[in-house]
Amino acid sequence: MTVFLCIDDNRGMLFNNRRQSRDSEVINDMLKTASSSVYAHSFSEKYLSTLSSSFTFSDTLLEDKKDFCFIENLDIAPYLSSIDSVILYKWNRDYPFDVTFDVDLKAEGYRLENKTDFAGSSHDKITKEVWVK
Amino acid sequence: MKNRKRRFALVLAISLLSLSLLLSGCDEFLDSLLSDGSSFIPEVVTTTAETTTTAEDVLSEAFETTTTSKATTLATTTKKTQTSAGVPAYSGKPYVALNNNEPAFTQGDMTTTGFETYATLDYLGRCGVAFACLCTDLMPTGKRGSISSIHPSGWKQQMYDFVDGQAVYNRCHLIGWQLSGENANERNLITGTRYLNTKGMLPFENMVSDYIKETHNHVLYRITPIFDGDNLVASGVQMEAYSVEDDGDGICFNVYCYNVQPGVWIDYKTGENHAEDTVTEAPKTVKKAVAKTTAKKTTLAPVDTKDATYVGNRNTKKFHKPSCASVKQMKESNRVFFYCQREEVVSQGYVPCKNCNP
Repeated sequence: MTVFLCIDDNRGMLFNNRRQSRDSEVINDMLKTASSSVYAHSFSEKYLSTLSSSFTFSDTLLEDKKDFCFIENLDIAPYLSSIDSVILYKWNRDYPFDVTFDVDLKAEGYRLENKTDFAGSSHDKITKEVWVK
Repeated sequence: MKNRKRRFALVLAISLLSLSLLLSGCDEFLDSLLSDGSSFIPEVVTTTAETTTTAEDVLSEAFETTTTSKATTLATTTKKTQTSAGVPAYSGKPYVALNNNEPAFTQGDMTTTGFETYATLDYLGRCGVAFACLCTDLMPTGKRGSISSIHPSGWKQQMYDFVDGQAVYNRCHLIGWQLSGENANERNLITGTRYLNTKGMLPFENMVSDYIKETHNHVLYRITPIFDGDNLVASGVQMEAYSVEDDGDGICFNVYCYNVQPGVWIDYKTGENHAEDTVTEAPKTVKKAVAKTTAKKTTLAPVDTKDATYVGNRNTKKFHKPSCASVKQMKESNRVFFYCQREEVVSQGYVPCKNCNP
């Protein structure tokens, strides 16, 4: 499995059950990276379905070990054994948070394979990190 | 003469009747203000007239206060000041959610017309509520201007080596510059700590700003500085926001940000401040960019801690082991002796000293 996640400077993911931020360029990059349909939880449906028809929604996407999963509201820690690659999009911003991404990728045996910056549609600099096992 | 007496009695009776009707009418009016309305947010506590807005005096436990500001021009005068009563004591986090993060906007507030309004300063020169419907049209297009000409209430600047940027106070925008493009507007700037500015308010401003830039939607946004009594420095700031077009799906919060600076004791009445738990030589007041001041510790005599389990500081709300150096440096009048378990001290709103880890 390859998992896509967005985090802020505090490794925050959500605040008040809402995504911290959004950027259409992140979604475009994600779809470009994935060679097939990207799966997402129903939490993300309202947002993603307005941007692209390339997403498939399922609440058991991690249990079902879908190839490409965009995760906004789930803890991936229990599924690490099935996750070969984690792609982090960093907002390079400080947002409020009450849910964080707590997986220490290095400690879990992942290595940083690639790191690139790109401009978003509403963010000056988004950093994409590709972590692989 | 008789007629005159009768007329007087008649006038008196009518006056008493009118007065009682007026009073009962007022009660009903107040009841209607305080009861749950049909709006998705509970209570409307303020008067609405386009000339005056009153802020609730004491915030309820859930902090469910609202102001209504339907008018696009707000010629408001804050008659009472909101206080921080009911807000949990600062416990190391820069902000805390209020009312389950539900802001108190009413259906009548919902609009997709951009506006921004700022209350007039009160008799102590303090800012009141700032309310806006934020959108791309209000966002700045030019460079940020200087705001150093503004001296908000309680502005007693001091520098500390341990504070990010050294200056304990920032001229803190109620509605951030990145959202409104407002520069030196005295109705929009309060004396806020560096911590309030960067750790408390900025993350929320970033979130709202980036959401608007990405979606071009509108966000209702209300910032209420909370002053206790006649204090010149706000204890904190209430921030409420709600995205209009998607019914709060993108942005929805109601938080209180603490106007504190870790390591610095602040007299909120005046704005005076000094390094916490140290006896200091008063730091020099800073006019412009000025040299660092270093708090100098003095050696103090041992303190009779009266066999207490812990010693608290009623001012800073920190508690210590009796042997902690901070106890010696604490003003006698600030010392509180505890003879109970740690949990009980914490339950009284005290936070453990980071040096002695009681």
